[in-house]
Amino acid sequence: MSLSDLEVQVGELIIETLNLDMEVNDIDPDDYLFGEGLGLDSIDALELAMAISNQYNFQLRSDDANNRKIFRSLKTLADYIDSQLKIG
Amino acid sequence: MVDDREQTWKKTSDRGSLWLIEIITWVILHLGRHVGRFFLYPIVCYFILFSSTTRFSRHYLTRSLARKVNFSDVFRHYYSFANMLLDRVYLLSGKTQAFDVHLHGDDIFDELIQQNKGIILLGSHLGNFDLLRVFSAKYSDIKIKAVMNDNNRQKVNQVFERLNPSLKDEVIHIGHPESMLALKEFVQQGNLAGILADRVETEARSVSCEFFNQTTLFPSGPLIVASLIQAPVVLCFALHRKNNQYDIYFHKFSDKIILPRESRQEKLTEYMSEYAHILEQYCKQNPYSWYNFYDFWNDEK
Repeated sequence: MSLSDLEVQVGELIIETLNLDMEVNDIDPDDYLFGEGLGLDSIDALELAMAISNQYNFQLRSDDANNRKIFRSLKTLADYIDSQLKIG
Repeated sequence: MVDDREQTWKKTSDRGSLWLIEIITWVILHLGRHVGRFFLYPIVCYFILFSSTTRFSRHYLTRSLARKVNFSDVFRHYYSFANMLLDRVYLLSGKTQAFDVHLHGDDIFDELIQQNKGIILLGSHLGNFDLLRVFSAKYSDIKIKAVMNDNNRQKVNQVFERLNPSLKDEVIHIGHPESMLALKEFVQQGNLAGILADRVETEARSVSCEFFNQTTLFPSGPLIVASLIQAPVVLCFALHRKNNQYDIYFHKFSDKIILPRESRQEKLTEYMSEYAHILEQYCKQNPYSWYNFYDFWNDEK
């Protein structure tokens, strides 16, 4: 499955921020980021959230009711960033 | 990153002590603290006879006492543990005034609170971390939350939450993607987050440190988080003296944890080795007050 431009960008941000030993094309956009799949934990999530706010100028909040969905996969994360960029 | 290997403390320590906590809770709530203390003797004796964790007590005591361990040492260790649980139950039911607490080194907070960067408080399973409730009663303008693993201690937490329903709001549970984000927001509002830093959650988030002349794993997560949110780190040990008397010791650990990307693991090892060293000193001075009843040094491998 090919990635959208933003998915590639966010995927690269994940790999770069978390120092992962993989290529962006290795990430299945529908795969889970946490637990199974990429196997990230909440410390990774914090680093990632901080990198996202630096790069895209909006804050991810812990009390967002949609967090489970936002952080589910590369696709859902990229979709959320896209929606925030449109608002911004 | 998460690995599948479960840490041994998840399998042993808390399951073993659950019924001890249940009994002590019942005794405290029905008979009070003084009578409850009397009942600790038979309860602890019974527990030692039937618990499979006493060998872990021996593993530890051999090191902290630096001599051969006898039955009365193990008894003292578990008695001290039971007494800690008893005081915890008491504290959780809101009776913070009942304790006579001496703070040592708490002058560092005046400056730290003014900086308003929040504080990461590193505790341990030495002594009784819940005594911080008394501390928070004194510094009422800052809020304190404890960072805890909920999955594996769910049953214990249920007992404590029954006792104090507001407990849920005083805890940041790890294990959700947004957990550490919540911690960041809380600390950056100028508040204080307490983490017990002598149990490893996952090997991927650990470093090897010397502890009683032997290398074993300590968690690296707490300091990674402290470095990300740039909060000062303070060590804290709350130790029981006698009756209702406690001493709480604070040490400034670092104004700012700096972890260079290329040497992150080395730097974490350095920081946590210092933590382990200080913890060891306190364990030697208070040999019966460290409550990690599992195979901490991998003696049984």
